[in-house]
Amino acid sequence: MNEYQVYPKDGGWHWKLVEAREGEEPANVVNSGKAVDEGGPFDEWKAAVADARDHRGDVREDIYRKGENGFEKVGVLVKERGPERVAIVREDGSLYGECDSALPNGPGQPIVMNISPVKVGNGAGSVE
Amino acid sequence: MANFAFNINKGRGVELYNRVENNDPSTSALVLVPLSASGTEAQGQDLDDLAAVEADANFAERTTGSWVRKVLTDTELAAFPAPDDTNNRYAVAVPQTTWTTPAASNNTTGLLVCYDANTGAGTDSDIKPITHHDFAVTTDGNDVILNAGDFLWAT
Repeated sequence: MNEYQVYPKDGGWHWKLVEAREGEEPANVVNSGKAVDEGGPFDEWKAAVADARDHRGDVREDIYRKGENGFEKVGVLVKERGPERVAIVREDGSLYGECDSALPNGPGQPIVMNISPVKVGNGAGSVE
Repeated sequence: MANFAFNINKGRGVELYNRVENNDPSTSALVLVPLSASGTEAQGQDLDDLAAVEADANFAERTTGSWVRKVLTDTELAAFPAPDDTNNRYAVAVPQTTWTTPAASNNTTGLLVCYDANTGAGTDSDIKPITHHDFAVTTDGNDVILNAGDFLWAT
């Protein structure tokens, strides 16, 4: 189970997605990005957050921050499929931060897969 | 893991596609089944129906995290193609297919393309696997899109 961590840096907020191992502290950083500090243009996100809290299906991940007592939950990650942004929302619904960086494949960006054809037969000219 | 054909439908895959596309019968469809565990060709090719695949310890269907089977009828499938006389084979393809926001940590290993003669009834024993494909998805909550493309070449 991967975990998102949010931490202050350079006057703003950064987040990182780390690979968690059961029984251990999260270790390998999978991806990271800069989050926008509170006070930014959050109006649009407030609507998104309100919507997300009404429709829990939009809430994706718990957000953790490393504190003095280990990792503590600070809120939930809310993704909006349209804008390439994610928001971090406290349990009370207030906005903790907004990430303008991408998740591993970008928030709202699909994972695109291909399959390879299976060849059946032994005809000449077939290509694998 | 590997891309392989199941013995039960070797030599039949192209025509099964044709039958689905021509509504013969109208209840027929191809079924895409995401897997959370995939065995080898040697372990899988003798399995003659989806129930047998499910029962085999080397294979497991992914049903969590909003992964679901995708039923492809004549509506979803492209028109039955002409033979590929350039490459001397008959190729049939799956259409672009989207799984909506499978949750993180619900990864897949493979994808089955199966034939179901009667989607309105029956059990997994009535669904016959055609091919297994490597389909290793590390989910992160975003949509997963399978691009349209050939799944079977009869040569």
